Amino acid sequence: MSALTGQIGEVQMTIQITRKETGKVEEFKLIGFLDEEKLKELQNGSNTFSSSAECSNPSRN
Amino acid sequence: MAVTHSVAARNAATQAVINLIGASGNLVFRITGSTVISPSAAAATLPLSSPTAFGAPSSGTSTANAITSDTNAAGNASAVAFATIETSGGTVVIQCAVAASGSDINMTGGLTVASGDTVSCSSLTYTALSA
Repeated sequence: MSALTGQIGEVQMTIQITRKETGKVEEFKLIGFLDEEKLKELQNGSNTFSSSAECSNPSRN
Repeated sequence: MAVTHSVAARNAATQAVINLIGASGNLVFRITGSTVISPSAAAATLPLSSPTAFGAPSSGTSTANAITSDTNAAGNASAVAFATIETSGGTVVIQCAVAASGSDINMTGGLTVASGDTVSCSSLTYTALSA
C-alpha cells in the first residue's frame, strides 16, 4: 500500500538572547518542523526533504 | 507519494492557522515535555503584535510583525526544546520542536535561557504547507 505524505509545515525564527550576567548577546537561527517525527529524521540524517540543520548558533560556530 | 499544493492553497492554509491566533498572542519558548494540550514550563514569553500578529501569506509563508522582547525571562535550567505560538489566552495554535542534539550543527548544552535574560526575536515566519 502506498503511503501518502503531505509536505510538512515549518517555522523559522532568529532570536537573540542578552545574558543578564554578562551582557553578551547570542544569536540563534531556529528552524522548527511541525511534524516531530520529521524533525527526528532530520536530526539523524535520514530526512529526505532537507539536509539543513534545524538549529544553529552562528555565535558559537 | 508526496502531495503538492497550489500557492493559493498554501496561502489559504497558512492564513487559516494564523487566524486562530487572533488579535494578540505570544511566542513562547518551552522546555522538554511540551504538548499542544499540556504545554511545558515557559522559559521566555514574547508578545506578538496586536491586532495583527502575522502579515498576509505570500508563497505560502507568513511573516510575523514586530515582536516584543521578553526583558526579564523566566528562564529554566533545562534547554529550550519547543517553541509555541499561542493565543493571548494560552491556547497553543502552533508547536514545533526547535532544538536537539545530534543535528548537523550541534549546539553544545542546547539553548538555555537563564532567569532575567532578555530574549528577542528579530524574524519569525510560518509556513503551513511547504509545497
